[in-house]
Amino acid sequence: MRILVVEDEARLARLLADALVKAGFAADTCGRLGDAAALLGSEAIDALVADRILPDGDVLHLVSRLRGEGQDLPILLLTARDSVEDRVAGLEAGADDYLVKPFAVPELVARVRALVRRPGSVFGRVDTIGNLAFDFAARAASVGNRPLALPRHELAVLEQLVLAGGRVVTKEMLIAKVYGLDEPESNAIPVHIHHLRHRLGDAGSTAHIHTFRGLGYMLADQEKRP
Amino acid sequence: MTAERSLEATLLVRLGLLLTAAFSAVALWLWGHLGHIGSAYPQPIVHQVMAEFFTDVAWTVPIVLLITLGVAAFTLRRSLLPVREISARAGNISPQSLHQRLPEQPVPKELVPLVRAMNEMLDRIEAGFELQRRFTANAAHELRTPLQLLSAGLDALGSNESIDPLRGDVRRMCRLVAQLLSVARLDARMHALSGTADLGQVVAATLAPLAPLAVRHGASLALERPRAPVIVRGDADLVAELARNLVENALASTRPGTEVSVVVGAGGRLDVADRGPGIARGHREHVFERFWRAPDAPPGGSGLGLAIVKEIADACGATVTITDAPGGGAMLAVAFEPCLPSAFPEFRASEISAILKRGRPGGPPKPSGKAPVRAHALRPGMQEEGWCATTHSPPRGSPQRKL
Ligand SMILES: Nc1ncnc2c1ncn2[C@@H]1O[C@H](COP(=O)(O)OP(=O)(O)OP(=O)(O)O)[C@@H](O)[C@H]1O
Ligand SMILES: [Mg+2]
Repeated sequence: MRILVVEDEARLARLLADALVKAGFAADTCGRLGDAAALLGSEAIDALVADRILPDGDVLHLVSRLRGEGQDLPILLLTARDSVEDRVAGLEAGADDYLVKPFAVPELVARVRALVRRPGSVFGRVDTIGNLAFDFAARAASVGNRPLALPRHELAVLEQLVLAGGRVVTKEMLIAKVYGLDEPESNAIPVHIHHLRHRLGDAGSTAHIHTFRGLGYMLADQEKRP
Repeated sequence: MTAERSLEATLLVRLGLLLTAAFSAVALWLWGHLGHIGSAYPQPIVHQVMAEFFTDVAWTVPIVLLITLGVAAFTLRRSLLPVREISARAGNISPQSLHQRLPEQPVPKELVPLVRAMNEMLDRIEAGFELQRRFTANAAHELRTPLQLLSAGLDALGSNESIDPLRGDVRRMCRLVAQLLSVARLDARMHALSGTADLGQVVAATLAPLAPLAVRHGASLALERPRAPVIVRGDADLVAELARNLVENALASTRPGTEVSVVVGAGGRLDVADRGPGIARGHREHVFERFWRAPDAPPGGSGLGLAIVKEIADACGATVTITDAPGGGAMLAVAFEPCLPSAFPEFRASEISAILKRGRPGGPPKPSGKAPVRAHALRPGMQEEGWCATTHSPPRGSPQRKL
């Protein structure tokens, strides 16, 4: 997985690239729109992380051009502007996600991970939350290296929670992802969560599923507070 | 405003008095003259002449008087009509529509210098606002970039007991900068205030990213909202910021293990209740001041959150009330102005989440902050013109807000 980081602040570009490398990606950096366009043309880049405003122009032009050419590589925009207009403009041009500066680097890594795992992308890797590990390629969970056997639906729920990378997943989204077009019973998801929470607890997992009434569910490591 | 007297009234009174005096003088002169003649002619003839004078001529006097006054009033009114129009226009110019100018055309010549002077004043005000806006936008960029470098540099150093506190400091600095920028943006009136927002949707989208903060505080967070959209007057961006500040305060104050409850009511109410110490009565009038913090407030805050809340509420025509939560703790309630869902609502927050969910937009309709005038359903009692667009009048009927 090769990520191109486009950021005119050279030190920041390097810090972000280092963090991505540490997370298991390959990363290139450049500081200008022109260089970015050239690299995208010549190299096999899997995802783009770009500062919105560069010395030689607005990244949105590049984004629209890429989308116009039918390229669908994931694009994450970094921006120091946080108005809704700016965000809407970024997403409309075809970016997949945006982060407002200043952000925490782990947040960036989590977002990039979430983006490259979009359907269709083959990115078989293992995510860990505390001592819980989830292998997306094998679709299997383990706690402290001991496999955790889970019924099909609970496994799918856990997969979504791990995929969210410490963010809240709504009940509606779980239903859509776990059941697809099937209509589950109204309390199916809460029941799965209930069982899953017990299984994780019994296996000695430090990852815990938090329920936020009216909002959704979130998986977080109990030891290390987010 | 006591000696205020309309031009029209003054003119009519003076003209009336003048004409009455003139007619009276003529009548008196006639009377004296006839009396004088009377000695030379027989009395009945004098009486007849006088009677003829009153039946044939004098009755026209009040009519002429009335017609003169009428013409004067009409002329005055007609020539001042454009002034009224201009006043209405001037009254609608807000920091968001500072590009507008008053027309010099139908105004009476005598008033043109005034209109011109007002337009020049608008030029200067617009330039000032523009400067402030540009400064704020630049400040945002210039402050955020070094903070980003600092925070990314610290993140790269890993974790130990000398670095972790620094990370906390940087987080606090980021918070202060963000809050200051919000205040500056509100001062510069950089937000389009003409929109409506789906309160339930905006609040839900605001709360989800706060879940990790709740976990960090050992608290839980719950949202109750009606299924149907709750459309209120206000910019989605601002409403989100208001909600975020209230919930952050509640999470910071609530006791570990308790729940912060957020309720969106169908009538456009937002209630945020926590299980903390509550806000002492003596503090309630101060909490909305900029930089005010309770003496025993948990460290890390900048004291700007509730000032921002209050300013946003004012901008949206909403009121904020502080009470005690039913089970102890603070309860902050914001009553927004409900808007009937219109044919073309401006759901910008939902637009964003829709685009995010779709992954990639396939050319959705262009959202616009500077949207043209939209058709809105009117509530009874609302003025036809721009009831969602005029933002600088205080909320109807309550210049003194309950705090
Ligand atoms: N829910 C609450 N319970 C108890 N006290 C509160 C609550 N909300 C606000 N306060 C008090 O009001 C003060 C002002 O709050 P405000 O949100 O304006 O500033 P802050 O939270 O200290 O800083 P920040 O600008 O980072 O939000 C707080 O310091 C706290 O003392
Ligand atoms: Mg606060």
